[in-house]
Amino acid sequence: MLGVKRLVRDDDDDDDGHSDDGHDDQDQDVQQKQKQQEKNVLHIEKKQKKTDDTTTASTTTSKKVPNGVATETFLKQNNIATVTLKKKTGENISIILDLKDEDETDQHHHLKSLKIGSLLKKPLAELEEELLEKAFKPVKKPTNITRYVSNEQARLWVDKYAPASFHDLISDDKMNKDILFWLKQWDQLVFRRKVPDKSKTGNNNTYGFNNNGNNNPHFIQKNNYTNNYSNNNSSFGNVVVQQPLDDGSNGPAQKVILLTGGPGIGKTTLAKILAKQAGYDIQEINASDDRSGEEFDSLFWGALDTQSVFGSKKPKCLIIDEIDGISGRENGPIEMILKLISNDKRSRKSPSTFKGKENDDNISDNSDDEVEEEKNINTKSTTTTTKKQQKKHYPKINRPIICICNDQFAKSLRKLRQEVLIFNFAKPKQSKLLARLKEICELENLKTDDQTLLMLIEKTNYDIRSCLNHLHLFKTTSQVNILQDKGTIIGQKDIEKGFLDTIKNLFTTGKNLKSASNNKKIQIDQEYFRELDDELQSSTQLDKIIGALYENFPSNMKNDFNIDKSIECLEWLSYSDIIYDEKYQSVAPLAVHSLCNTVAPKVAYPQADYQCFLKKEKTLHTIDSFIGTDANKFSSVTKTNFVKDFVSPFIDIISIPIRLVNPQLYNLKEKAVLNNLIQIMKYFNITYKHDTTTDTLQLNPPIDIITQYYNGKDLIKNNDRIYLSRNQKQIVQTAFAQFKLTVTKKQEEKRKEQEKKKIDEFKVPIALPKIDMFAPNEKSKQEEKTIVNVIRYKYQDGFTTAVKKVTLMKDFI
Amino acid sequence: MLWVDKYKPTSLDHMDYHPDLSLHLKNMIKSSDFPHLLVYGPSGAGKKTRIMAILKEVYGPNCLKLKIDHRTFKHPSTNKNLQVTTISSPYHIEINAGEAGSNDRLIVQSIIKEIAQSPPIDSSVFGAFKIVILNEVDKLSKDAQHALRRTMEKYAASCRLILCCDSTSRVIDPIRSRCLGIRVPAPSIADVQNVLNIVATKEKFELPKKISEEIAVKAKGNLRYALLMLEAKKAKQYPFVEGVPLLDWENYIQVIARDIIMEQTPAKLMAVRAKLYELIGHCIPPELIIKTLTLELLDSIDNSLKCETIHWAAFYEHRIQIGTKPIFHLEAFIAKFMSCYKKFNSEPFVAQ
Repeated sequence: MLGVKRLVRDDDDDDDGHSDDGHDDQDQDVQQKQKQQEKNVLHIEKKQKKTDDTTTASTTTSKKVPNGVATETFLKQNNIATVTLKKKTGENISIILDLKDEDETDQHHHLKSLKIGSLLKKPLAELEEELLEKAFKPVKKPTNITRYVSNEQARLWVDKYAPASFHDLISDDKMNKDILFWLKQWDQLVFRRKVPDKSKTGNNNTYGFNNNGNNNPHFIQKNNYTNNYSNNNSSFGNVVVQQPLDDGSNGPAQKVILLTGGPGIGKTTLAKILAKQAGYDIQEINASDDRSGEEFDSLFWGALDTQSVFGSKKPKCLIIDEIDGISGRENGPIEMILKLISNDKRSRKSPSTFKGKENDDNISDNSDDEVEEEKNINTKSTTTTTKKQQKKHYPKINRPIICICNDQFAKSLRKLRQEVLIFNFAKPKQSKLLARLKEICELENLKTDDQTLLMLIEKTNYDIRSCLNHLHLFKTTSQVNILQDKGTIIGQKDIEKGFLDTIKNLFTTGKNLKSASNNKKIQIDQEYFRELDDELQSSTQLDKIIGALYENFPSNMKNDFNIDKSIECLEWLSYSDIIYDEKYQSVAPLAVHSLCNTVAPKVAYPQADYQCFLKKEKTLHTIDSFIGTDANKFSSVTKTNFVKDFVSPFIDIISIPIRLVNPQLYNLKEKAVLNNLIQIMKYFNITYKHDTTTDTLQLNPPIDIITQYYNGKDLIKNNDRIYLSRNQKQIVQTAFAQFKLTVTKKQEEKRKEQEKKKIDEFKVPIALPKIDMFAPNEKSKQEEKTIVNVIRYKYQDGFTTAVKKVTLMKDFI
Repeated sequence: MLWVDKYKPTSLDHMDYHPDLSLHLKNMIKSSDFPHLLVYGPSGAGKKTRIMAILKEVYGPNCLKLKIDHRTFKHPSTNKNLQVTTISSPYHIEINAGEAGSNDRLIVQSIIKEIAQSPPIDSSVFGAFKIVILNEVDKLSKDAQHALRRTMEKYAASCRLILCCDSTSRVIDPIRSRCLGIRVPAPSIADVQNVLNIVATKEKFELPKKISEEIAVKAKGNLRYALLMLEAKKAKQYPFVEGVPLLDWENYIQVIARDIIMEQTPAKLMAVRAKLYELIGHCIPPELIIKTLTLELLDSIDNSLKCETIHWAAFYEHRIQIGTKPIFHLEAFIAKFMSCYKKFNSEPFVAQ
C-alpha cells in the first residue's frame, strides 16, 4: 500500500532499551529514500487496482502489502503500526495505524478517509488523484505526532516539544553515541550484562535504540566538542570513551562526566534521555536548589546506594545539574565528589575483596533490597560519624554520575575538571535548529517565515529553550497566527560578549556593499553604528574595552601620515578617562571606531597596562624591602621621594670606582674609601649577591633596577654613572664579608663578655682578696676563667634576711 | 651613614636656614599647646626634619626611638586585610597616607581612633595628647579627607595631627582651615651652598665654590638631593670635577624628548608609548613626567611654539590629576605636541 518504508513496533520491554531493531546508517537511509520514492508511485498505482476489488477496511489492505517483512512486524504490533513515508524533501510522514481500536483519535483521522467505501463512483484517474492528494496533504499535519505525546494547551512548549527518546535527540550523533557508550560501559557493573564492544559497533545497531522511524533529529549540536582526559590514558587516541577494564566489572575508567555548554542547548534533556535509554532511573540533583551540604548528601547517597522499594526496580543514574552553582568550599558537595573519585581510583588500583563484594551486592538480585537498605543505613551513619571513618568507608562509585554545568571554567569546578570526562556542547547548527522551529510552528499553526525564525535564533544566541519560549509567548499573546519580522517583540537577550569581540567589531568597517548607493551606505553604516552602541551599552567591561582600544588602535590605523587621526583618537580616549557619567562612556569607543576601522582588524589582548602595573608593583616591593625595615633611617624618605631624588645618587655613592687590585695593596686613602663604602652598605643592609641565573653579582635588595631604564631591550646607560665591573663588585663583596665577619666576631666577644658579667652578678665568684688585689680590674678572660673554674660556689638565690658580707677563703680553711 | 642622615639637625636650634620659622615654632611649643599643623612645602625643603624637631622639643629625645610596624586592619565589610606600614614612638605614630591605597579612609580613621583612646600616662611631660603624623596627605582620597575633618575635631583633646604634604592644592578647604598652616619654603641657593659647606668642613674636604653652586642650582632647593649629590660626587672623584650627573629618569625623559623632536609619526608615537610605560613602571609620578618632558621640549623649540606647548601641557596635566589613566593623557599630550611641531616645521619660512 502506501509505500510503507518501515513498520515500527513499540518495544514492550523498554527497561533495558535493548531491542535489536535496526537503526540504519544514514547512507543507507538516503539510498532507501530514493528507492522508496520511486516505489511510492508504483505502490499507489498497484493499490489503486486493488481497491477496485476490495471494500474491506485497511486491516485487510495492509495484509496485502507486497512487502512480506513489513506485514510480519505489522501483525506483531498489538495492532498498532506506524507507516512512514519519505518525501523527496526528506520530510517524514508517519501514519499510525490503529487496527484494533475503532475509535481512532483525531490524529489518525486522515486514515479513515483512506478507507475506500464504495466502488468506482468516480473515474479511476480522478480517484487516483484524490487519493494521492489525501495521502500526502493531511499527512503533513501530524508530523512527528508520535513524539509529542501530550496536547495540553497549558504546557510550556519547551516541555511539550521536548524530545522523548534518543532518536528525537538532535545533538551531534557522535557525541550522543559517545555519551551513551559511556553509560553502556556501566552495564557490567550495574546490570551484569556484557558491555558492548566499541570496536564492533561499526553499525550503530548495537546501541539498540527504540527506532521509531523518526530520523528527524530533535536535538542539534555541532560536533566540535572536546574530550579531556585527565588520566594518562590519552593514548587511546580516536576512541572517545575509554574502554572498560579487562573484566569490565568496574565500569568505565572515568566515573563522572561533565556536560558543559551554553544555556538552553539541551544538556539536561540529553542527559535524561540517555540515562533513560540505557535503562536507568534518573535521580536529578539540581545543585542550585540543594545547595546545603546535608541535603545534597542525602540525595547523593540515596542515588548511589539505594534502590526504591516501590516504583521501578531500575538502578539510578545521578544527574547533578548546574554543578557550577555549588560553592566549592570545603566539605562541600564538589569536595565530596572529588574524594569519591580519588577513592575510587585507589580502590581500582588495588581491588580489595571488600570492594568486590560490594560490587556483587549491587547487582540487582532479589535479595538485594535488604542489603541495599542495610548499606543505606550504613552510609547514613557514617556521614554522621567522624570524618576519618567516612573516608575509610567511602564506597566505590557504582552508578553513573553525570554533572552538568554552563561554565566549565567556573572557579568551583577547577579541581573537578581534571578528574572527569568533559563533553563540550557547542551551539547547534543554524539550519537544523531552523528546521526544528519550523516544524513546531507548523504544528502550532503559527505561520512564519525563515527570516523571522533566523532572526529569533540569532537573537537568542542559538538557545533552543529561549526560542521556544519566544514562540510560545507570541502565540499566546497575539491572535494573529502570523509571525513576521516582529523584531521588536523578541527582546534581545543580553549576551555579554567577550570584550575582545567587541574590540574587533569596533575596529571593523561596517558591512559596506560596494554596489550600494550612497544613501544605502549611510544607512548601513548607521545601523552598524547602532549595533556597536548597543553592544557597548550592554557591556560591563567598558573600562577594559577602552584600555584595549588604546593599545590596539595604532595597529589598525590607516593613512595617518599627519598623525591627525591618532591625535583625535587619543583625545577621545583621554576625554573618556575624565568623564564619569556612565551614559557617555560609550561615546569614546564609537569615536575611535569612526576614526579608525579596517576590513580585517588586528586585535591583541591588551597587556601593556598590566605589565606596567606588575612592574610598578615590583618596584614598590623593592623599595619596600629596602626602606621598610628600619624606621630611623628612612623616616623622611617616602616612596615617591625615593624614586625621585634618592635612589640615583645613592647608587652613585655605592658604586665607587675601586682599584682592581688586592685590597691588601690599597693605600690608606683607598682603604678608607672602601671602608666607608662598606659602612654605608652595612648601614643600609644591602649586599652583593650572586645571581645564579645570570652569573652576575647583583645588589640585594635590587634597588639598582630602579635606576635602570630600557629602550626595548637595550639598557639606556647614564653617561655619568660608573658601572662597577664584576671584579670590582667581587672585591666589595669579599671586603664586606670580611667586615661582617669581624663585626660578628666583635659582637660575639661583646656578647660573651656581657654574659660573663651577668654570670658574675649572680654567681658571686669568691676569690681570695690577695688575688683580687693582684689582678687588674679588667682581667684577661683566661685568668678569670681559670679562677672561676677552680673554685665555684653557688650563691643561694632567693629571699634572705641574712646580712651579706665578704667572706675570705682562708676563713674556711 | 649617609651625610643626609648624619648631618640632619634634630632640634629647632640647629636649623641652618629659615631661622624665623624655627623661632616661631619654638614659641608655639612654649605655649604648651598647639593646634593641628599642616606642614607644606617642596620636597627636600626640610619639612620632615622640622616635624621631628618639634616632636623632640615636645617630648624629649625619647620620641626619636622609632620602630617600624606592619599593621593589618580588617575591612569591616569585605573581611579583607589591609596592610599599612607605620612608624611610631611612644608618643607619636606616623603613617604614609599615599600608601594606604583605596581604603585610606578606614585606615586613617582607625589609627587616629586607636591612638586617641590611649592618651599618654604621663601627661605632666607635655600636654595630654599624642601626635599623629600623616605624610603625603595630598594623596589621600577626597573621601578620606572628608572623614578626617570630623575625626580631627572629635579627638582633638587627646591627639594632634601633623599633616605633611608638598602642596595644599589637593587638600580640601575644611582641613586647611582646621590646621595651622606652616610653610617650609625651599632653601635658597645660598642656603644650600651654606649647608654644603658646613658638611664639607665637617667631613674635612675642600669644596670649591663653583662646585657647590653647581650642585645647589641643580638641586633646585631640594637639600636632600643636594647632599646626596655631593656625596655621590665625592665618592666618584675627589678632587671634584665640574658637571652634575642627571638623574636616571631625567636622562630617560631626555631621550624621549629627543625622540619626539626627531620624528613625528604614528610609529614614533608607539615607541614613545613604550618608554612612557617604562617610566610609569618605575613609579615616576606622571605629573613629574609631563613637567620634565615639557621643560625638555621647551629647550629645543622655537619661541613661537612655547606658549602652545605649555598650554597643552597644563591642559593634560589637569586631566592626569582628575583622571585615572595617566598614560592616555601623556600620550595625548605628546601627540598634540608632535602635530604642532610638525605643522610649524612644514610651514614655509617667513622672512621677517
